[in-house]
Amino acid sequence: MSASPAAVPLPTKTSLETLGDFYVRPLGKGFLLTNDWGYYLHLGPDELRRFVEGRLSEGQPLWRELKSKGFLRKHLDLKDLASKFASHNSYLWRGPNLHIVVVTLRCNLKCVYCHSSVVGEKRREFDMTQKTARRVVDFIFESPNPDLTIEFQGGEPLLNWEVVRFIARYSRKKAQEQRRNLKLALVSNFTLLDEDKLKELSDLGVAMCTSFDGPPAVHDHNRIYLGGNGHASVAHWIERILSLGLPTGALMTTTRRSLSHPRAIVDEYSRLGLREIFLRPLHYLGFARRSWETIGYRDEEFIAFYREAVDYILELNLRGARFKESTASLLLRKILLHQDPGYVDLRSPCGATLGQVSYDYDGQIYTCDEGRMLAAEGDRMFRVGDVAKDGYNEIVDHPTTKACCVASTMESQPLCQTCVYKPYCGICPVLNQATQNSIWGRMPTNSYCYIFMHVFDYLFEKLKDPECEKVFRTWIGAEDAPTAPGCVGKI
Amino acid sequence: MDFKADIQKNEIAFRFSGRAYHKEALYGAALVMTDRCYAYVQSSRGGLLVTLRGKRPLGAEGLESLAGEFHNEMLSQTLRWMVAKRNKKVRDAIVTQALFAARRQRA
Ligand code: SF4
Repeated sequence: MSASPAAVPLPTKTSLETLGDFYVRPLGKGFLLTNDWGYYLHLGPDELRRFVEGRLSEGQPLWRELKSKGFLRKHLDLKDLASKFASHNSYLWRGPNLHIVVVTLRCNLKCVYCHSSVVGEKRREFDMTQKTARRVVDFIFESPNPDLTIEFQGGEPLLNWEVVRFIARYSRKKAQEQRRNLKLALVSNFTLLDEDKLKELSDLGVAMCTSFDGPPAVHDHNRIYLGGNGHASVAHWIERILSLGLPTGALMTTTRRSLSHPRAIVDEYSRLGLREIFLRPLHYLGFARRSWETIGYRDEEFIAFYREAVDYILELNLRGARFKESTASLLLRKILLHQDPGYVDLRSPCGATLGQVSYDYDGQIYTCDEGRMLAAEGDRMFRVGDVAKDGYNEIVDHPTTKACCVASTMESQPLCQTCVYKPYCGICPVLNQATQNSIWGRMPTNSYCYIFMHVFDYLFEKLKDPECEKVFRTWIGAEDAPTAPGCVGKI
Repeated sequence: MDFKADIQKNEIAFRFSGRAYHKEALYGAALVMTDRCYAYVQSSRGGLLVTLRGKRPLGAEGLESLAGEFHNEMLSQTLRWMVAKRNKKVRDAIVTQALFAARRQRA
């Protein structure tokens, strides 16, 4: 049997001595190489053969590039590689930064895919009390991380406005006393927003983020609002907030209805003045599980949608527009700048308890918001404590935190440990549990893995084109405004 | 790398004998294939027998291409394990240096 062009060559005993540690994957007509220090390189089949067989002469451009990027064993700049590793894994040395506070489970919308398993508007027993809210804030300030983000989630958080306001004021006061950097973010459907609340939120420095699925035919189909025109209301507030120069952003969830409208969705974002879109697949959690037959789709269909939308965004950029896609920007920050974008879902180990913590309306603490969502469906395995009884050390030492940490460390995942995308990727124990009944998951048939592998393939293919790389660099450039906190939801 | 195809059973089988293969690479390659087939690894005559059975009917051509993909994956995994083993010490040294530096910065 003869090997196809996608076969990699094997080193000889002598050439093996010259090779640094690297990962490889066929990509397009050539190969992609990466290493744990976060460097990458595209090689043609012949270049790869010459490299692996030790037939590159010193000093030639390819040899120099391999050397400077840590692919040549005898020429490693240990200091540079260690600093690159430290930089793109900088989260390893901090405590949890992101604290998601579910101030109520009530909601006034009936979204077809709601991941949060919300309850009806009248069920006030699902609101967080002020007493619990105070305990939550005190707990958050036990985290050793000097930078803290508190994200108000729900349900619809504005249904429990008094507690949102209390937490914002109380945490600002504590941050000032303790000299901590505090970011506040509200994730709301905006239907209950008014000028007074907007003013107060803005005075308290709360960034506002919403869910927005695109043109009315898609948005109103996905996010059912019986109290009025959902799309018009969100669009109004996005434009209003932007007109005041306040930070805002939107999260977009892809349903089957969205798949045939990639361009229209991007255009709608752009029309409202938004400069960024977060193209997120649907997850098999909450109400989405129950309506999967009608709103779900295959992973390949999402990837086709993603590629078409980002191709279009690139096209707009090449015509002079400034607009970016959030998943790509987060990944590119790692790939091109060796930076940790602070994205808790895509790191090794994942952010469960160590990067983010989620607090339910009743003070129960979960490893992350997805863990809390799973609990709402009856599986409480990701619960790690209670603000009324436990301290920060207890949740860090909790067996579930440790189990998530081990299961999401790439070195302990059979497929990830040899994958070319390992230096930039991450896995999610909660989604593994929800979809494959095991926090470890099985990557060859894992949806999250499939999607990331293909998003990475897409980005690395595009990076071969210098024009695209130029655009990508503007998405992560120093002059570029970072994504509004709260708008970095689960990809 | 020779293989036997059985169209009726919708499967191909590879025999690896002696020490002429990396066990980690073989298991890794078999694992990669499990999105499209069921993989069985059994010991056989001092070596290992890998059987890949298609999850959907593959026909002669499909089985041939499955064999090609498995072969390529074996090479890729073998290369990965060879360089990983050879570089383990230096890799650990770099990670230790990174961890150490960050600790100092915090102190
Ligand atoms: S999750 Fe998938 S894409 Fe990511 S490192 Fe693991 S095997 Fe690779």
